[in-house]
Amino acid sequence: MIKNDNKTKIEVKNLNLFYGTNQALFDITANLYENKITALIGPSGCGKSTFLRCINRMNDLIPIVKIDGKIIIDNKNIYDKDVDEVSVRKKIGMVFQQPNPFPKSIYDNVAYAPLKHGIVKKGKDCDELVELSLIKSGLWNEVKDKLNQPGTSLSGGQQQRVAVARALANQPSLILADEPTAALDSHRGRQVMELFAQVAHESGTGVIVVTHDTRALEVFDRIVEMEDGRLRPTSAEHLGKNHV
Amino acid sequence: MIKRKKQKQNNNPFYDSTLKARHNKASIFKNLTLASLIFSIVFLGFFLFDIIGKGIPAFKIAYVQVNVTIDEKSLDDTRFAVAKEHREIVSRAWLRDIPALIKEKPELMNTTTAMWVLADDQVDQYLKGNNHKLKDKDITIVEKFKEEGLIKTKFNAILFTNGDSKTPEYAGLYSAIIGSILTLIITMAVAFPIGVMTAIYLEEFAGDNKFTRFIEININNLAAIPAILFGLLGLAIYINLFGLPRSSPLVGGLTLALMTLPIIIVSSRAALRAVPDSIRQAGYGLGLNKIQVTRDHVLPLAFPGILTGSILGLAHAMGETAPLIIIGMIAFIPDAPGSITQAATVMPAQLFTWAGMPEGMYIEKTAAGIMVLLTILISLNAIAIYLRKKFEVKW
Repeated sequence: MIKNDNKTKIEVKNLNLFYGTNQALFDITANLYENKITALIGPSGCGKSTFLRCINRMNDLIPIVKIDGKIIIDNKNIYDKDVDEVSVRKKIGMVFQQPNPFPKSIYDNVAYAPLKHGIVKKGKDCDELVELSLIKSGLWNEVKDKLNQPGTSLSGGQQQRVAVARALANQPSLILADEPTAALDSHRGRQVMELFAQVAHESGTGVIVVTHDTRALEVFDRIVEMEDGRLRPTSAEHLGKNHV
Repeated sequence: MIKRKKQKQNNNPFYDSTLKARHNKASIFKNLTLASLIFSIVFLGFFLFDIIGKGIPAFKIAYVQVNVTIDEKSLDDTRFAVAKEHREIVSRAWLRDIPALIKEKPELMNTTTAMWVLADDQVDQYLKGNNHKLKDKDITIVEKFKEEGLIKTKFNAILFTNGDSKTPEYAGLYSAIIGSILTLIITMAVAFPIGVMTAIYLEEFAGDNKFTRFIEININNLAAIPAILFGLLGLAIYINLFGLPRSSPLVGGLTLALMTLPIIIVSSRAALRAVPDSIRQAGYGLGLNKIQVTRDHVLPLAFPGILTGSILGLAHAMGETAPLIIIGMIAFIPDAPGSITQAATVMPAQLFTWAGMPEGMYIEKTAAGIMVLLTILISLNAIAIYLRKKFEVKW
């Protein structure tokens, strides 16, 4: 069932990453596609989270990290000197392992970043964006009556959906998720994974998920396996999915 | 016999010959810790008992009803306002305020009225059964007044409405309270913003290098420096170098700010560090910059902790005397300061002055002042706990 509608979204070329003198990623070259949900799997410590964090330059927050190689998004290498990492992260959303709502209301959790980035102005536009984002993350019906309650009042699964809505509200072209289901039970975890698949297929936003959770692998279009800081070229065939 | 006993014990599979000694040691250790606790409680109890026992009587003070004649002569020398035999039992300081009374009620001029006049401190001490220096003839008069119901004790409002005085019965905490408030306002206005900003820089912006570690060690050391050194620093910098007015709440506040800064920095850093890093990650992941993440997401979570630390720092500054002695806030200052540049004293310094006075009434007032100071400090701590509980976010 190999479809040939793969449009390259991200081109990773010869990416090497060092923590001080320790090399963590070795010469990674890969293409990641639009409209696809990609899983990044591998044993603990294989560098999959590190690789994921290269894509939105989150590793820049760690002073000792050195990166060479290119990650080309929309024909621009994000590690070029004239690219500000803040604007990279605006275009590439991220969902984390721990549900981490801001200490604000559910509404403000979703609305904060788009307001700061000037995507919407306060008022009707913003209300609509919040509603749309929460509908996309499948949370609207549960929270529409309590948008002013703190985000921390929700359950873990709901908080993770708020995080997805928060990322979506920024209108990113790509969403990265770092073990988003690790803190959830398998049922809720699966719901979140299915949500990501839906987001990828319906809104054209590519999704890359680092996961340990092998029970939900069938929701992914592609699976990329890593080992010791390198991509495993055979992994995709082994799982019967599209090739890297 | 012994052998049999041993035999019997050995039948017990849980028998361990070292066990009894170990249990003994454990119970000795437990009793030692308990004894330390009891020791501290006894001392604290003794302190409170002593202070409250001495301080409570100071909240009451004796008044006598005597005829007060107000005319040109008594306005000139207010001692003449009362009959000669009463002069020793009424407060001279109270009589000195008669011209002020006339300004308020001019109709009293050239009249003789029976008034409740503040009693001399020796009369008050005599009535309370303390050591006194009353002469026998004055004692007779006081006893006569007592029989006729012309002596009564009232709530000692003077303690809160008057400033310091060389006449014991007329001395109060008012100017010291105002001085303390002005000083602490300066302290917080300087130490809070600088302390919190420093903590934010060190915790959120500064990298982990030798320089920041050096600064961190020094801030921790500053928090443990004897307070009197800050007084010397304040004297050298604010008074000698900048020429700011000596004894003023401005200099006192700035000096205490130096002392409070490390406390606020250390507690604010701890509060910022306690904010889960995932919040920052979430913010950066959305493309927010450092100020948006820090101001809107990290600070609100750290704020209860910062506030608690700052209030405790404030309480610490409030009870501090040594540095203020160095910069001259220990002087005799009867009037409340009208501005931050006028001479003032603070509550602990006022208590220090009173504690050195020989009169029994000053000793009483010292104890009462300690009670007032303790009440304020405990209230501040209670506010800190309340704020922490109220704004605490559970994760």
